Amino acid sequence: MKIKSFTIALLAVLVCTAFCGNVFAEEKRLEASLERTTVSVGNPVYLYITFIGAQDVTEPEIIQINGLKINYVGASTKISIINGARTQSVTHTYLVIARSGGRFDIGPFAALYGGKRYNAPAVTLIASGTPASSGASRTQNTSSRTTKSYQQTVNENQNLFVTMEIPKRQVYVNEMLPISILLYVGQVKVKNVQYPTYRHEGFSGGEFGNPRRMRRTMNGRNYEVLSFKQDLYAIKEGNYQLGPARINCQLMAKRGGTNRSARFSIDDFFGGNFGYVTYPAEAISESVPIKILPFPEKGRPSDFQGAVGNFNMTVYVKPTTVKVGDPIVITMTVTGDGNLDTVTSPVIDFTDDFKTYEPEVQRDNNRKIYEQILIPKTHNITEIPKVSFSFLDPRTGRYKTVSKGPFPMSVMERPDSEKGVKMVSMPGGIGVNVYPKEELGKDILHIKEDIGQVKKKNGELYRNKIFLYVQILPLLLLAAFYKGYKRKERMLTDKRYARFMKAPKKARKGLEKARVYLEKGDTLLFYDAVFKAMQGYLANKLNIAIGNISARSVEEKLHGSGYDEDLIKMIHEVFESCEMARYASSTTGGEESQKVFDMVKRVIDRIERAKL
Amino acid sequence: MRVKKIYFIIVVCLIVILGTYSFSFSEENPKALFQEANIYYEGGDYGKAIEVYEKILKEGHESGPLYYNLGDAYFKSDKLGMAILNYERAKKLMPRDPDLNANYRFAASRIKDNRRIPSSSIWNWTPLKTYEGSFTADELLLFAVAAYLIMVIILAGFVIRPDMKNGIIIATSVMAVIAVINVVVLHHKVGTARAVTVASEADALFGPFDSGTKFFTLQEGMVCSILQSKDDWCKIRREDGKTGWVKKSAVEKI
Repeated sequence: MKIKSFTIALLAVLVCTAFCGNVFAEEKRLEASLERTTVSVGNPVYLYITFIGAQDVTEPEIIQINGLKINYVGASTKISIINGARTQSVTHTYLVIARSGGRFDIGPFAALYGGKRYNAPAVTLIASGTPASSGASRTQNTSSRTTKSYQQTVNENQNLFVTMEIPKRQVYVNEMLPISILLYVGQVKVKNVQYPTYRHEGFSGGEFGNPRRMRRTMNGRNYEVLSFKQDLYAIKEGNYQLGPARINCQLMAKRGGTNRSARFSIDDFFGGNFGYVTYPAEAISESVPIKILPFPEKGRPSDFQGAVGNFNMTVYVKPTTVKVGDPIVITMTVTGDGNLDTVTSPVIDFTDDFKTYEPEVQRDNNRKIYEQILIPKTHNITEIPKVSFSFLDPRTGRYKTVSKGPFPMSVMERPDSEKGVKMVSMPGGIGVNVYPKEELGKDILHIKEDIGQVKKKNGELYRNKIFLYVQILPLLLLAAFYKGYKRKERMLTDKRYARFMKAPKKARKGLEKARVYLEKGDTLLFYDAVFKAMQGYLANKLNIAIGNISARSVEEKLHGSGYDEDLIKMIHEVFESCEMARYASSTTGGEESQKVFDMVKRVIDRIERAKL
Repeated sequence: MRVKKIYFIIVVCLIVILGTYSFSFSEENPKALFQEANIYYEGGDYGKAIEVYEKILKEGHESGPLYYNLGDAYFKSDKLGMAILNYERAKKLMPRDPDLNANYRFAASRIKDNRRIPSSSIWNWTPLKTYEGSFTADELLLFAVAAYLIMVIILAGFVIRPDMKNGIIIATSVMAVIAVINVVVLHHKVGTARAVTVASEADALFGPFDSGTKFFTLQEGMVCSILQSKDDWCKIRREDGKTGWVKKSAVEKI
């Protein structure tokens, strides 16, 4: 036990000694470095100042330099043991944003630890590009060149910039111009990206759609790109500038910078900001010159009403067989690419044979549906005139006309009976038939053919007194039911009561048996049956055990119950006769038996009538 | 034994009652007369048709279509009061007949000065009035009896299942209310003596004598309630609640 404790203590001391020895042996120094030494104006870069050999070192004081903005982000500590050599350090991280181009020496830096001053040499940052017009945190792309698709090129060092993608530089009045404004995000993390703002004089703009996220590679660098699309509509001819487009967002910088080699990430535009500090930023694109052309004079159709795009048209006529005055609906659907706002109803060359109404229009994503209601005034009509629609195709700069019809029709004369029908226009251009008010005759309805159920006069049920009196019957039935149910219930639960109630029935059965023996002349069996019937009846009626029934016991019971002496005497006689006959049968005759039988019946009858 | 006796008495009673109601009319005669009257009517001889229809009634028979046809015949004879009287009588026997109701409305629209505001009696409350007018007196009685029988059956259930006391009390109360409502409506329907003005005009006076002051006028076809009778006079109440004395000959009891 002692040896084991000693061994553990010795090992602990050895480990501590080795550990402390390394600490004391570690060299203390201060180092400073930049995440990268070249940066474009407006783009952030991290500055790391690391004190090696201790962790309780406060951040060195940084002198602000003209042309740079330096913000302290935070500190992170690190301990590493490699081959038993333990190293501890603290790194203070700063975010540096160049406000203007040039070469900047940041530092030297100094830190105090243990009463001793430690120094680190200055670091050099080269900022390229021109300063933004306003806002310290603004970023700006530096290239002025444009690609074939009028997309701006960018400096390869830029981490955050905006471009405008505009498919063409010349458009016609009323032409739709789809543009894209792209926010490129390189090795930084951003959040709260706002919708772009930009000048678009000469155009009317639709709503921005939801931004689309994608990846693009430019000049060998990978970017996360947010694309904002918008359709512009040219309004007035002339030379204009589109843009510059501005997008506001917030740059996110990691607090502390635990790993010097860590790079910015844009894995999450809108979230995952734990451990980050944010800075407002504005990215600005170049503006793009654009020209709006007037409608060409050459070849302009007479029915051209300003539609610009590439369209097609379908026409349906329903019904094709009508009577004079019936409505006909012409459904004209214009579909295609272009500015649907400038598409007007196709033209139909109506004659005076038709009454027309304002067409009703519905619009879907890329089509417009016109419903034109016509009323033929005469049956001489044989066709609906052709329907035409003209538009300017901006790709070719030429006008095009789509025509459909004429559509054959069969219009019939309306019968005389319907000639009073008028067609009226309802709200929404719908026509309905209104018939002239019919003059209705007024009179009583005709007599009935069948006499129906003939009754005696004043023979209503409510006058019938018998019927009314009978209504008491259900209550009587209810009372009877109640009584019967309660009796049955008592019979099941009250044994004495059950015996009492069943006594006469059982006695009748016994007497019936005795009567049979009497008729046969079997005196012995007769008296036996009579005795049993009498005995059973009295036992049940008086609630006495059948073995205890005797003339005397019955007499005692009946005396106290209010029965008269005559009845008691009769019972006594019956018992005596039965006993005499059963034990000395030779002394009894048929008359005597009949007398006993009648006496038993009378006894039972009197007891039943007494209801005591 | 006693229970058996009760059952026996009940059965005997039922046999007597059913026997009372199992009589039947010889419908041959009224039917034939009815057809005959209809022929007169269709031939435009409304006077003769009325005569034959009335003959059927005098023989002690009645039916809804009989009163309906008689009302039609009186209407065609320009006897609006008698027409409405017979329509009212027909309504007592077939209150839901659409033809009858249409003819009644049409005839009532011909009554002069008939735009009276009904008095604010509970019996003029539309749901109650509609209910009362939609069923015959016998139907109301049968509804009441049915509710009463159901109530008795529920009470019998209570004898067997006393544990269901709450439910049985509610059900019994509902049935009792239904029965009472129907009895009350029935009582009002048959207990109120109503009459129709059959004279072309009848003055309602403040007292039952010829020299009495005129209060208002009953027009032919107007329906009123008879409150009291005295000699040749009867006290009536018009639908708007006004009461007065009119000659008995001017009105006919429905």
